[in-house]
Amino acid sequence: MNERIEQYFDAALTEAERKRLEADWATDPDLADDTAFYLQVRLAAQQIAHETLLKKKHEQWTNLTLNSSKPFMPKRWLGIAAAVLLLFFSVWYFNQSFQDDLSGRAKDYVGHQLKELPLHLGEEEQLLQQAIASYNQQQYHEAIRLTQSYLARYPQDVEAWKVIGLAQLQGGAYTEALYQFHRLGDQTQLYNNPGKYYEALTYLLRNAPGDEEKAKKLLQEVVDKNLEGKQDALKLLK
Amino acid sequence: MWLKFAKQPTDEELVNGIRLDYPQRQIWENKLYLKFRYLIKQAMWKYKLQEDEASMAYSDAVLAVIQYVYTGRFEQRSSLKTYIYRIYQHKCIDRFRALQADKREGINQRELNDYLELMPDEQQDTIRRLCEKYEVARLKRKIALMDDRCKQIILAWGEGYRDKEIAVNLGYQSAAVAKTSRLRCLQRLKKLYKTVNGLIEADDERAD
Repeated sequence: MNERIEQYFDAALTEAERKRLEADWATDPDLADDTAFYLQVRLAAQQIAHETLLKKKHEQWTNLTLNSSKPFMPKRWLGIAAAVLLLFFSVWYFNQSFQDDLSGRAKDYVGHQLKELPLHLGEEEQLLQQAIASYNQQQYHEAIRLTQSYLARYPQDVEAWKVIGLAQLQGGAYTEALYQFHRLGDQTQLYNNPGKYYEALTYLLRNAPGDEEKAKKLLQEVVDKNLEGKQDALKLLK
Repeated sequence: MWLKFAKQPTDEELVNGIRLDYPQRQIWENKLYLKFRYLIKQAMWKYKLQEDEASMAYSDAVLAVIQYVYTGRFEQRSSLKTYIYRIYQHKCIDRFRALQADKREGINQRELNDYLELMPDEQQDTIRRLCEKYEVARLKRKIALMDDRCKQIILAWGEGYRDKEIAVNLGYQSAAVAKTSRLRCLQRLKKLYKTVNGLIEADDERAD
């Protein structure tokens, strides 16, 4: 293979050498044939080199994209787990907030709205009036004592059940209050019966496990049956 | 607080990174590949290429861009996105044509013209005609049949290594020895090319 051919295409010949080779091409068929062969081999060699490099790089890059997606998998699962956990805690927090809020609102209601009770005017109910007066002065133990005395004489007076129940509620005697309100709520002949509503409030204030559900059920019953305390029940259920 | 997405490298960072030496350069080559990988899907739709074809064409385009960036041929007159997009288009069209018919020789013609244009006009046609005798695809097959030493030296030459580098890399005594060996290998390849079923073509026998 004539070295001049390569030197010509690599621009390594002098001007004179270049002219001489160009003249030789016209007269030397073997030199022209060698030149054609040289150019085609050069292209073939470049193509092989390019294809080899391309194959290597393509494989490397394709693996790169595959590998880059692999570590993503655990991250994705971690993300999903985190999202589920977040959702769970959000629901729990909302529920907890709702519970705390419901119990707090019930406490506020009892503390403010049931702080004072209207006095009864009938003479036969004087003892009950004294009990109510004690209640209004936040003397709940005295109110309970007086009402118990009154109930000894009039055990079926549902108004007394209410007063003693409220006094017990304000005094923190929730179990006793529940008894009073429960039996009050069972009285179907009364036109205005706050028994179930007060029972619900007592459950909310006691706030023992399961009390929340019982209170909600009672409040819903108050709303559904249009019982006394419906508007307040609706506010609490919001 | 705003969500922060993975930061994509800028053109400036990519160009500077690709101009570094290996292994750092490899990191930036990978980043370039990943940054515009979405073009593969576009090409599949636009040129009706299979994913593997479009993906290979994309790798080819990235390789070309890396070469142009490294050698300084990419002068940053356009964004890397525009640059790679244009090259990728050509690569896809080449692949598309190659799928329609075997147009590889047509692609070779473009590269051959680059060399022929260095010659005087009156010689170009003669050499072009003679080139038709030597099919590139067949030459590649013949190179693959050569002994390892010749194969290595021809491939190193094809990769663009100079004789001095070939001598160092392949253990030749000097650049001159490497050059002589390479030219001898080309001579042997020519003989091998003209050998059909173990026989040398008649015109060559006469010449020898």
